[in-house]
Amino acid sequence: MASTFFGMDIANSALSAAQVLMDVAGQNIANDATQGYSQQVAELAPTQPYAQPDMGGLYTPQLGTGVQVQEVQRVRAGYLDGLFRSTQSGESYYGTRSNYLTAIQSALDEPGSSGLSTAMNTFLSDFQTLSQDPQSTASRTVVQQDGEALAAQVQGIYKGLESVGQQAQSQASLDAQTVNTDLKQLGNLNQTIATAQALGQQPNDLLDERDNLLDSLSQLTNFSFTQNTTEVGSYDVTQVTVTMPAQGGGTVTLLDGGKYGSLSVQPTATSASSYASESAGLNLNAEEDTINGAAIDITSSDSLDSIAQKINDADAGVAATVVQNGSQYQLQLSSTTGQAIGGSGDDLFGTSAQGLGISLTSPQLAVSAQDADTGATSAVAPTGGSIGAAYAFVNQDLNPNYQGSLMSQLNGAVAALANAVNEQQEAGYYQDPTSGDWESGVPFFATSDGSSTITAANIALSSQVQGNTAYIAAAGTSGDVGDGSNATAIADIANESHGPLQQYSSFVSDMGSQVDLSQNLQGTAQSLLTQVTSQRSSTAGVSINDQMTNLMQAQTMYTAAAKVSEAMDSSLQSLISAIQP
Amino acid sequence: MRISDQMMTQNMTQGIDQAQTALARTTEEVSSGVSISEPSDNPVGTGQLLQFETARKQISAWQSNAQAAQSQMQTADQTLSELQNDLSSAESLATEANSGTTTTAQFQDMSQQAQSILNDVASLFNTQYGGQYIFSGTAQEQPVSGPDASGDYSTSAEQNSGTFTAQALEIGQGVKIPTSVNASPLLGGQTYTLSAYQDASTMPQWLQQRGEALGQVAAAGTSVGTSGSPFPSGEPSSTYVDSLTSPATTTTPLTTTSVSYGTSVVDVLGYLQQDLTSGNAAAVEADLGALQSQSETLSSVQAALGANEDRVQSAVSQLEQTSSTLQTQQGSVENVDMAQLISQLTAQQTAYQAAVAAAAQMKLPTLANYLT
Repeated sequence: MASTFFGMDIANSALSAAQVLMDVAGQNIANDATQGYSQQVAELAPTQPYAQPDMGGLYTPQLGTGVQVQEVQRVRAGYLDGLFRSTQSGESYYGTRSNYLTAIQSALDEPGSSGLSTAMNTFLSDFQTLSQDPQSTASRTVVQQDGEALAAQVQGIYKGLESVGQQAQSQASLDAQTVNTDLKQLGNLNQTIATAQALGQQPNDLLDERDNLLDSLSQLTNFSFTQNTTEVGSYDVTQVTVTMPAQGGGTVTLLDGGKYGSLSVQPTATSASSYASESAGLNLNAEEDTINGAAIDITSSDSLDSIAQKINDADAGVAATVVQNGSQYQLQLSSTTGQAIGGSGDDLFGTSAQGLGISLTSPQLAVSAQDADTGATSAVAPTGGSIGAAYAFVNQDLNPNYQGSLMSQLNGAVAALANAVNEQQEAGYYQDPTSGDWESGVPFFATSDGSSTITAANIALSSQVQGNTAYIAAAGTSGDVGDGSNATAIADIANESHGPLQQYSSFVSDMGSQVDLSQNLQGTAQSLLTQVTSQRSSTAGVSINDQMTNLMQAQTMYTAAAKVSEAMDSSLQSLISAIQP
Repeated sequence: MRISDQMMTQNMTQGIDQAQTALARTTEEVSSGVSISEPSDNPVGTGQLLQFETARKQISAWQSNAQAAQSQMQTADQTLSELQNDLSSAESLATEANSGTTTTAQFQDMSQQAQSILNDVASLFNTQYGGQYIFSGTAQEQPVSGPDASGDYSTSAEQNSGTFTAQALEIGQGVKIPTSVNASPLLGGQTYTLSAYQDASTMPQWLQQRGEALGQVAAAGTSVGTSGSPFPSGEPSSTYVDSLTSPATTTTPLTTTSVSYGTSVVDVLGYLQQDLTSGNAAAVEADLGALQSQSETLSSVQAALGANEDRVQSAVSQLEQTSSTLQTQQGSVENVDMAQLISQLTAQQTAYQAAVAAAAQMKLPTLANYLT
């Protein structure tokens, strides 16, 4: 037989359960607008029933003893998280990429009267005017001035592209810092969550916080996230692991339980790499090498590590690190000053058969990751998120040596123009301003840095043409002051099919379509992301209607339980008053 | 599907954003009137625009060249007409002198007129355009002719040696037009330098005639010299007789001095003036023949110039047509279809207003509003 107050206890358990239900509804309503909050539900279950063998009858009845709150769980569909993060990584990649490309597009200012196309056209048609009166100093000066303006504009555009590249580099560097902070926080969260879960607690809010951090990490680069559940005692403990593919194969683990690694971006003007395999033995000849003018004394017994040490000790504005690249080790040089790295010597810069075969051209933005478990640093090539966008933009689009890149197209058009003008100028004749003799033409364009290759970075007027307009070779035959046929031939460069002007216009078209493409891809990723977000929100989001219904239900339950309690009380009251005199 | 509150907010914001972006883009196109303000708006169209611009720039350079050529040619045309007038005056002068009734005084008078015609012709050949001698071709800084220290007129070395190079301007893709007149047929001609008893039959007919009139050239079989004996048979039909200063019948012994004859228009006018001075009607007749043939040559030079002028004229109208075609093409790539755009704008405005109005109604009642 149950105790006298048994029923009161049942009512009491209902009262406290109803209160929890109301609390949970309150918490959900309070976080209706909180970003990344998952709605929580309290799961109720009947308490352990009470068997009553003394009631007689065929069966031994079990009496229910009330209700209890078994758990308060967050509602979340895990598979949507993975979809959300991979979509967001792509969306962020194309968004960032289209920002960088749009900046370049603005720097070019095409189509318009202030673009490079106009400057090139004007410069070439100046030669037509010169052909009308080859002796005219005014026409010659116009050619010279417009040539100078053209060179200055090309250099200006180059600097514009370079500065967008620098912005991308420093943004990637800031993003890497964010990654590192997030990784550290994630490590702490993994630990806290593990501790709580092992004690049977449900750290719903911490889980939300961890998911939010993973969401924001996915914007930055292409991490892979895995969730592993292990059993600790009788409770499940879920931990998140973050990995990333290493360059040349394998993966780098950036987060493993409480341990976290780091990502580093070297925003350098030039860095270098060598793919010499240390296991094959380094073929060093102990000659003296230099980096940025500082002597690096390499002996035949040096290893990659000791060479890196020597370079770092030389304090030449270059940081050397040994990173693993697949099965090979790689010596990576990065500039600490942002200046280009220069060097000489067979050991470091010779062919890989002779030494390390370091190439001083690419990549220009190096990203390396430190493993959370081993602490080893490996080179990574990010392909997603904002860091991936900066990596591709700097190392491919702005890399003059990368085939078909925007920079190589710009250089190609500029070099084509300069070389065509130079070639035709050299085919003509001019009258030497001092001796009065007729001479074969001299180049019109030269480089400002003494290099033999004209690029967008160094195009300038040759010193002769800069100094005296008489060096403009307008004449096609020696000795004829009135002969402007060579000037006409130079102006005709504008007609050439696949000539410099066409090369430039196809460069502008290509850039435009790349901006367009990245914007479209971002748009696609964006709408997919919206859809996934909706789906996620449909499951995990708070709905006031739901919560109100829950609240009503709990309220009704509370009122009814109070009624039960009151009924019990009055029953007992009538019993007590019956036995009283 | 379960709808959470954040979903509603997110979808609403996105709807307004999209409507606003589309509206902004259309407004930009309507206000600027061009559909391509950045390469990414239409990458292929941008490439076309840049090439149109190159073509337009070239056409305007060719147009400017054609204009310069036209002005220069007009100057040359005018000069040639004046030259033709001068030659006609010289011809009538020679005809008049040849009438047979001319007195010595009249010959002197005519000689002076011939001299002034010669001066005029010489200065016409030195006509300048923009500081350049128009008949000098690419050697534009050198005058064509002029009196030398001894007052004799000569033509420039280039014209005589036939190395004249015309200045040429480009007035179309690969089309070059000579802008300077080649007056070599008038100014050049040949110089015949002969020494005593040399064959004179290589010279033009009129020079032989004039030589005979002056007694400098003897036809085969005629008697010359002190001996009065005829040229031995086997001599050329016409032979220069070495006697510059006297008629053939002179008694002055023959010397071995040589002489040269020129055939340029300046030379002919010089001869005319000399022959008028000396009153040698037969020589003047020979000069008249030369003047007539020079006048024909001048006409052909004028015709050649006229043909070039026509070429430039037709090139100018062709360039204008190409330029307007180009403008039409450029417009079709670059300009917006305003009617279509305006209706699009109206539709987008409505969509945007609807999105905003819906957002204003966003605070839908929940169950909470009905619980008491």
